[in-house]
Amino acid sequence: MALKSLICNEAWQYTEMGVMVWPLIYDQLWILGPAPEYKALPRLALKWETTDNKTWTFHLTKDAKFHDGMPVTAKDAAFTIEYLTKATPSWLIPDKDCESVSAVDDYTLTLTLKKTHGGPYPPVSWFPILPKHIWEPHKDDMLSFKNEKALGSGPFKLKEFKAEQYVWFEANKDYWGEKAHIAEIVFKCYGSQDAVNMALKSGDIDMIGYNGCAISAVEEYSSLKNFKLIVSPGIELAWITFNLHKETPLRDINVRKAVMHGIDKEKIKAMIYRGYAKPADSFIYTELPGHNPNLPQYEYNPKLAAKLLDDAGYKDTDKDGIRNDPKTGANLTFEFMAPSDWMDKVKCVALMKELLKNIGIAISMKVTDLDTFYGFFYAPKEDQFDMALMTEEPGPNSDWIWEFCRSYDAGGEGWNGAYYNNPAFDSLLDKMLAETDLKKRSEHQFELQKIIAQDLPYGMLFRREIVDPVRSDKFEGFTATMGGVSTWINPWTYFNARKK
Amino acid sequence: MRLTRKIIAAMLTIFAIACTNFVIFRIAPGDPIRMMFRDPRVSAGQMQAMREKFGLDKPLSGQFIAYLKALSRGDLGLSFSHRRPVTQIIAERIPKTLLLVSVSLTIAVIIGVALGAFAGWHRGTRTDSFILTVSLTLYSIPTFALGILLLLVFAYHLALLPMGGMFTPASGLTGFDYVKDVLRHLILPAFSIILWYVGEYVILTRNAMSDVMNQDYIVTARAKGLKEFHILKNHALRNALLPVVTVTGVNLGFAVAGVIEVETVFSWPGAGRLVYDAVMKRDYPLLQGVFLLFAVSVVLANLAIDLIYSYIDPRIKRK
Repeated sequence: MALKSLICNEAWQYTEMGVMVWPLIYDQLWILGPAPEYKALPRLALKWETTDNKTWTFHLTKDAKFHDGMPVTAKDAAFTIEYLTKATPSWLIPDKDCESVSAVDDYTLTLTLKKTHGGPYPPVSWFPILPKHIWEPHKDDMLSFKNEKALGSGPFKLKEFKAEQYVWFEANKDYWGEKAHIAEIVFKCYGSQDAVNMALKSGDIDMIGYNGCAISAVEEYSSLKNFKLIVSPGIELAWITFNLHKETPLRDINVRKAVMHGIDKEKIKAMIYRGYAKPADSFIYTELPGHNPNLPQYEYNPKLAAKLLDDAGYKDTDKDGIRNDPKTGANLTFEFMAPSDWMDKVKCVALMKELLKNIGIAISMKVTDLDTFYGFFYAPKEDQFDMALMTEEPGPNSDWIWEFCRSYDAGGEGWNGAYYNNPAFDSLLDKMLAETDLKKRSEHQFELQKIIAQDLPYGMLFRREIVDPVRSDKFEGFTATMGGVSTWINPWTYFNARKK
Repeated sequence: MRLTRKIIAAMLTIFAIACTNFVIFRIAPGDPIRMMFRDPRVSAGQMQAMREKFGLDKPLSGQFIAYLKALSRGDLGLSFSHRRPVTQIIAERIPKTLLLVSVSLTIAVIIGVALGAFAGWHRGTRTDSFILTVSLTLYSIPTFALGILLLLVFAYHLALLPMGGMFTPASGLTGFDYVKDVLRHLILPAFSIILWYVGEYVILTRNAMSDVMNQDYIVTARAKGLKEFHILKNHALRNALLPVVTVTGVNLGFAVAGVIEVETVFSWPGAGRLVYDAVMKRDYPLLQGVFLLFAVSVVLANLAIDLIYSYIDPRIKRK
C-alpha cells in the first residue's frame, strides 16, 4: 500500500511503504538486529541501563546530526517520546508509556515507564526520533504538520516524495554511523502485482518491497539468470478468530475444536500457497526461544471432529447434510469473514468452507473491504461475524501481540476480536510482561500459549513464507529476516546492499 | 430564456445532488473515525476527540447545516483520511484525469465516428463486417484486461513504453523533457481507453448511420444527383451525430469517475483511485466533494449537449 503523505500518522506503521520509509530517514534509540539472533543493537543510544526495569537510562552518541546539521540530543528523544505517542496513539504501547521522560543532559535520556518492562529488549522499540526544532511548533497537533522535508538523522535523506507514486532517497553522506552503500533508493508504486513482476523482470526495479513476489510467479524467476530467489520464513501469522460474544454454538469449545480438526492445513499450504507456508500453533514463532513446543495440536482429523460434535449433541437431525444445534435446532452455519484485499485469505476461507462441509458445518463467506473488516473485527460485541480470518505480524519482539488475548472486559477492548475473557490469563500476562528473569518469563510465555491453545479463542493456522526475487547480478547484501528482505523489522537490506 | 431555464434547472439539480450526497454516504455502514485508525490501541477518548475535530459529534441535522454553510463558501471541508482540504486534493487529482480522458476521448471520437460512418455507409460489405467485429471485440474487453495486455506487449516484451505512472520516478526532468516524459507515459493508458471507446463510437455511429440511410431525404439527395461524400457529410452524418453527441456528453460527465480501472493498472495518479479509497475509508467530505464535482460535470455536459444539439439540429432551437 502506497504512502499518501509524510504526515506522522498511522500510515508510518500500517502501510507497506510507510513502515519502510521512516526507518531509512529517522534513527531509533536502538534497533532490532537481523536474523537469526534479532538482538537489540545500539543506534542513537550506544548503551542503556536499568536497575528496576521501570526507570531506564539511555546514553546517546555525541556524533549524530540531523540532515540539516543540527545535533541529535536527548531533548529530541524526550520530545518525541512525549509528543509522538500522543499524536499517533498507535505508538503508545506499554514500552513507550512513560510516567516521565527527561533529558538529564544533552546525551543522557531517562524515562520511567508506567509498568515494569521485563524481557530481552529495552523499551522504546521501533520508534523514530524526530528533530525537536522542527516539530516543536506543531507538538500539540503533529498530524497537521505536513513534514514535506521529512528531516531526520537516518542513513538516508528524502530527495523527493510524490504521493502514491514514489519516494526517492539519497544516502546521507554525513551520516554519523555506518553509511549506506548505495547512493540512491527509489520506492515505486505499481497498480498491480502483474505490473510489479513485469517491472522487476524488465529491469525497471531491482527488488520487490513488502511480501516479495506472488507465489504464482516464483517459477518464472527460477529460470532467470539475473535473479536469485530468497525464501524466508513468514512474519505474518494467520488464525481464525472465534467471536465468543455472539450467541452461537461457537461458544462451545467442542465446536471450536471440531472446526480446527476439520481444517486441513496441509491442503491450504499445497493449494493456496504451493507449499510456501508452514502450519502455526502459537503467536510465538517456532524458531524463537519463547515458543512452547508442547502445545495441544489440532491435526486434520475429520473423524475426530465429527466425534467431538456428535458427543456434544450436534447431530444432523433434519438430514440436510448440516448438523443442528441441540438447543435451537438451527443448522450449524457460521459467517466466516475475510477482507477482499487479502485474496489468498479469501481463497483459504473458500477452501475451509468446503472442508468444514465434510464434518457437517456450513460456512457463509463474508468478504468485506479491509477497513470494514477491521471495524467489525475489533468490535466483536457488534456481532458482525462468527469467525474471522485474521493476521498479524508480531515479529521477534512480540509482547504486544498478547493484548489480543487480554480479557475484553479488563482492558482488552479494542484488541480482543474474540471477546475472550479469562482473568487467570490476564494476571499471568501481567506477570510475564513484568518478569525480568528470562527463564521465568519463558515459563510464563509457555503457559500463556498453552491457555490460548486450549481455550481456542483464536485457532492458529499457518505462516506463509516469502519469496523475494532479487537482482543478484547487480547488487549484493540483500539481508533476509523473517518476512523477507524488506519488512517493518528489516531495513537491513537498504543499509547493507551494495552494487557489485 | 430557454437557456436561463436550463441553467436554473441545472443549479437546482446540483443543489439536490449536494443534499443527497450528504445523506447517501452516511447510510453506508462503517464508522469513519474507526476506519481512520486501523490501530486497535486508539482509546475511546482519542476517537471522541477526533470525532469532535471533524464535527462528527454533532447530530446529523447540525452536521448538515454546517455542511451547507461551508458549501456556500466553496469550502468542501477537510478530508478525514488525507487530513487536507478536499478542494486541494481534488485540484491536484482532477487535472491528471482530465488530461488522460480528454486526450483519449477526443481521439476515440474522431476515429470511432469516422470508422462508424464509413462502416454504416458501406453496410453489409466485408469492410463493414470487419470493422464491426473488431469494434464489438474491443468494446467487450474490460479496460483493465486490455490495459494489462498492452503493458505486457509494449512495456514488457517490446520495452517501448514505460510500465506505469505519469512520469519517470526520480528522473529530475523539467521543462520540455518533462512534457515529453508525461506524453510517453500517457500513451498506453490513453490507448487502452481509446480502444474501448472507439469500439463504442463505431457501433453507435454505424447504427445511427444505418437508420439514417433509409430515410427519404437520403434517397432524395441521391435522386438530386448529389455526390456520395456530400450526402454522407452533410445529410447522413449530421443527423447520425445526434446520439453520438449525447453519448459523448454523458461519457465526458462520467469520465472523471469512469477510468478507475485504467488508472489502477497504469498507476495513473488521477481522481479514479481517489474515489475508490474515499469510499473504502468512508471519507465523507472527500466523497461529498468528488461526487459533487461529478454531478457538476454531468450537469454541465448535459447543458453543453443541449447547446450543441441546437447547432446540429436547428429544429430544436426553433422549438
